[in-house]
Amino acid sequence: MAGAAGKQVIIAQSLEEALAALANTGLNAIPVAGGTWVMRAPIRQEATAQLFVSLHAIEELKGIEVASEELVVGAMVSHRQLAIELSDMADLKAIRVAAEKSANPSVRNMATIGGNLCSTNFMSPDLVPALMVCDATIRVQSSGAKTEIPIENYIKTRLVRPNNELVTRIRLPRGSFCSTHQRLLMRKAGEYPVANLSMRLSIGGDGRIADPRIAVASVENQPRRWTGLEDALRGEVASKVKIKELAIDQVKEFTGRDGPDAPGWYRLRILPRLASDALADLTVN
Amino acid sequence: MKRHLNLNNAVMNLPRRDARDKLLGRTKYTIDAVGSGDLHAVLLRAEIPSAKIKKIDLSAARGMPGVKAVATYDDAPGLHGLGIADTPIFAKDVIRYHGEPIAAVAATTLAQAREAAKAIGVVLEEQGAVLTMSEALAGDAVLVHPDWADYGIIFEGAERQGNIAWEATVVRGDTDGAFSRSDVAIVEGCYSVGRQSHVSFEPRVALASYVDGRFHIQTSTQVPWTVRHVVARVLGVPDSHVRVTVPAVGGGFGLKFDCSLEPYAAVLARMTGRSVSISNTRQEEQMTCLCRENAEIRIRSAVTADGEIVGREATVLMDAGAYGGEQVFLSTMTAHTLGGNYKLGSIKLSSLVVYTNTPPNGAFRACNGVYNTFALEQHTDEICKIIGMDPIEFRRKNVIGKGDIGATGQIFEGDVLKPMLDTAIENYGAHENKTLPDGRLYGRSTTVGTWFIFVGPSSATINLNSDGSATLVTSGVEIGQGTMVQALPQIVAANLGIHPDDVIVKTADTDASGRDLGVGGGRTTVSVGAASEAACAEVRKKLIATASQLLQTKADNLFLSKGRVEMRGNPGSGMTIQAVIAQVEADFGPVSGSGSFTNPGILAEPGCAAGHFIDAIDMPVHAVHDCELAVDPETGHVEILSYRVVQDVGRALNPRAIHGQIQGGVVQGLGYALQEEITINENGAFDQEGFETYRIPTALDVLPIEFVLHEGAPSCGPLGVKGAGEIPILNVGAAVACAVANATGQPVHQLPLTPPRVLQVLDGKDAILNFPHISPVWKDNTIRFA
Amino acid sequence: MTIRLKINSEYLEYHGDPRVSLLEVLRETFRLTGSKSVCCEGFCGACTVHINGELVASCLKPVGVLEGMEITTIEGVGSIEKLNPIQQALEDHDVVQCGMCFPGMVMTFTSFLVSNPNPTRADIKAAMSGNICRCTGYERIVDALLSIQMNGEVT
Repeated sequence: MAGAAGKQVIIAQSLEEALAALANTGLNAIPVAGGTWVMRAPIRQEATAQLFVSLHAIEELKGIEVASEELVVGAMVSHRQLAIELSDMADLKAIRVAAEKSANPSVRNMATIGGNLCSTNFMSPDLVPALMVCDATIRVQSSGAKTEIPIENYIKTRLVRPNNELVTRIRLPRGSFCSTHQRLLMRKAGEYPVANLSMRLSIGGDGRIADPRIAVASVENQPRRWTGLEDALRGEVASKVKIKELAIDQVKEFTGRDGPDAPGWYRLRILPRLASDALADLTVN
Repeated sequence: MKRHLNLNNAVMNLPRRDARDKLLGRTKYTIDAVGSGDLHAVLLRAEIPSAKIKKIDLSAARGMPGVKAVATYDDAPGLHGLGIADTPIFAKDVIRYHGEPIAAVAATTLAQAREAAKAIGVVLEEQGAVLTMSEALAGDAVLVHPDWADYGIIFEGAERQGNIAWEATVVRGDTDGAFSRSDVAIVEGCYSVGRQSHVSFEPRVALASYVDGRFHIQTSTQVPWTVRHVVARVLGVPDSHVRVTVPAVGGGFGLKFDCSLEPYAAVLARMTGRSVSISNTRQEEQMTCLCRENAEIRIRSAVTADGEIVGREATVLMDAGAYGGEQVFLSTMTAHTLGGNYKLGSIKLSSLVVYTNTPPNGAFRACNGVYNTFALEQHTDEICKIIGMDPIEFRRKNVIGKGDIGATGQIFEGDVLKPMLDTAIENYGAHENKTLPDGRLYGRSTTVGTWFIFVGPSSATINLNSDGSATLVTSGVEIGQGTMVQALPQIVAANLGIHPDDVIVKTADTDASGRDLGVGGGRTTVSVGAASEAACAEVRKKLIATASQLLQTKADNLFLSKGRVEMRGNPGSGMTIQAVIAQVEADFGPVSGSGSFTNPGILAEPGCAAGHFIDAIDMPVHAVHDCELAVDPETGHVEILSYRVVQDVGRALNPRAIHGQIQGGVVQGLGYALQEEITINENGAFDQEGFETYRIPTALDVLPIEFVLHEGAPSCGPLGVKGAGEIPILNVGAAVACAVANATGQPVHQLPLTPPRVLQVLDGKDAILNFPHISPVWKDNTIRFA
Repeated sequence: MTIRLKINSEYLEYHGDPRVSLLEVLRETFRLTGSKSVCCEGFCGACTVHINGELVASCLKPVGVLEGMEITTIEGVGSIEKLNPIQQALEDHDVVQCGMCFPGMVMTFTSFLVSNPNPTRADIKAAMSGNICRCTGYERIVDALLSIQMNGEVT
């Protein structure tokens, strides 16, 4: 049967209340953020969960704190709010572009940063690779414990995280680097990217690249860093032509997945172009 | 007749009267009419492509909460179809496609019906399936219809055999001689296209009730009379026991040019004694769409050095899916499209409709004309490359004109295509090579196209009301194209000298109006319009006769204008139409008139066409499309830079409405050419199940289409109109393919040109397309001549 | 569980499964059929409503979270006597065809044009990325929207 007092939807007023409801192992309960993934369960031929635990009223999950060294974003912040708040930040531009360009206007109003992180079966997220290059730290809370997890580790473990745990806040360090996000669609808008790429780096006075970070999603089942290209770029002069050459060489790190949206070979074929477009965007500024 | 009125008054940008309610969300489409008292029905559909049905156990389902009836083949036996009666509404002993209905459940709620459908026990013995036409035509292929020879033939004359549901051929002249000439270049190519899905926003849906011993079906359809007939046939009742009514339809494009869900609702309504509603989910809608068929073409031509086409041979394989359906009829149209546009010294065409264990295909805006035009125009550009002739000059030299003979021997009436080509060049300029600053490849094409207006039976009645308004009763349906709310009231108003706002248009009701072939194929303005004009003529005769007596003047001196019957040369001297109506009514009774229309019947050359439903087209309609685009050689993306059209409209009755059809139709064509792809997996099911994976154009993918309307071509339509709704899509596949070929320097042999496919074109991989299962020897691809 | 919903300034009560989408509740429980169920996955925009002034795809919003929120559907926008400026422009330009996408278009642009009163063609198209139309080919809709002179609030 459904949750407390036969309910099928609970609007949690606090984290504790939400976690308690999710911890109830007698039930199939799920957290609901924007709802844009959960509400498509029937289309994925999945059964509807017995209990929806809505997070939209929990204060601690809302809002963005802006400080000079870091930004702290509540898990329930929507794509649209994120894009607005980050509009002048060159260091966090990857996140702003990902938030601004994904999906469509209505979905950007509804879909949250926490939801994007936690939709583990969604193979084409835009925010996730942007968070990866921006060195995000994910704060999670389960009954009694708060933990900070660097995003790399979070992504590696997110398929096996416990049910009674919620992402509460995402910390983003600020600095004198610049970042961007590129996405390739078949049409001009309104669909999931066939491949996307986020990039963050600094360019020294000598025109050489320092601390390059590149993350790719949609090419494989899970997003990840393009370590081969990062290593090849480090210390190189920033050049569109050069990065394309290096990228063509380093694409072998990926296994392109075949999907109804595109064949695997195509995703790999266009990755060097995404890398070069990203660098071009960063060097314009 | 025409002296009694000024038909130029018909031409105006009359706004549509149904826009306001649609903008307010007030319009009730059939999908909105499902009420609280109606039972809800769902279909249990097959999940594999080919199987024997060993057992269907309904006992558990029947006992479930809310269930009122479960129907299977035995409740609605019988086969229907076009040309061949091969289609049951429920699978009988055999599953032939993924998605085929096995049973239908009616219950108090949709959720209850779904649960009950899951509880139906079906025991299947999976069988071999043929999922491609190549597999279906192999010597040892599994037969989709082992009993094909026993099926009832509705239309005689075609060859059929095994998995070949229908063969249509054309033989005219000596192609063997043409190809063996020493002064010709022989150009050959193979082309392949995938399916296109309509994605009408309102899904297929029907509401059925059984009242006073008759069925009343309210449905989202383009063909109320077809629905009436097929429902009657599968339910085993006389046609007159079925009434079909149709409110506003939320998009058709040809998907609804067939009977669809109505028989299921009807049989359940009879079984339960209740009204029953049924609709497809979006997933069902996509996965059992009656698509524009996938097809494979081999074509070759013998052309002299100065560009004369002395011989052409082609074979087209049309995938029917599991049942013959529309493709049986459409095999006729190869001759008028792939065999069209140009003067030919000799021609042989073979169109084979092939059964496969896949969802049945159907009709979609300009049907096989779209891919035949793609293959023909790309083939034409390849010919031009080989003989070294400019593509526009070649077309100017060869397009059919007045007195020229078509593929089936019909003689064309006017010079239309050449003047249209000249208009295109005049307005849009000659082709020039351009270099784009961003490194993308520039391409341009000019293509021509011929389609037809699907004339055929229509009827209309006009009732004149005492207030001077007129009620027009037809079986026409408003699917969004505007004909029922613009062109028809305009035609009637001009014929009666009243304002279109005073023409009431009754929504389709088969109890109220006479038979009609349906809405689609550009026919509504022409056929329903012509029938309406004939009805107006009867009414006008009655009015003028009475007015002539009242005004003591000869009938020839009278005309209808601005709501009055006026005397020539004596303005203001006549009388109001209301006064005349009152007198006619007093003398003879209420004023009404009826009219009918059907194919005028153009002659073809006897003996050259076999298996054709239409030997010669009564009303050809033509287009010239000019497309400029840019190809990104790294990603394969194609951006249309300009798209310009010259369209043969006969007479532009409502230019603004035609603009809407051109903009919308070309955009659907761009989707077909560039983005919309359906792939079928090893389970015989579509991989693309909804809006996420089946990509139709968004606002950012389109551009304003420029156009010039070509008027004055011969037309038997009212006021000389031709239907304008279908032709905009005809050339788009061709235009984009030819422009991409121009940009890349490589031939294009497949659509859609998605970015990955464009990269394959650039890599030179598209040109090597060859079909081992279509012989280069033409007659080996026929039953009749092999 | 009873949920009190404020829809077009009216309070309506819903007693069914709260996990069901707002779209389903609007159409089936309250017979507000102006919002259309077309794609059921948030791509087409035909189900667009306003919730607390924001555009929402009602097919993706579970009704159980909506207590206390202001919901506006197409039925709450304009009237037969007086269309709102977006509806009026679309009518004046005679752009409607089958009509199924238009409630969603009206909802999107009623919201968008209030906060963006002088958009470019590109701005309008970007705002339209979540409203798909199969009939019109879009450009005439954009022309109509560009012709609107926004004077303050739109109701």
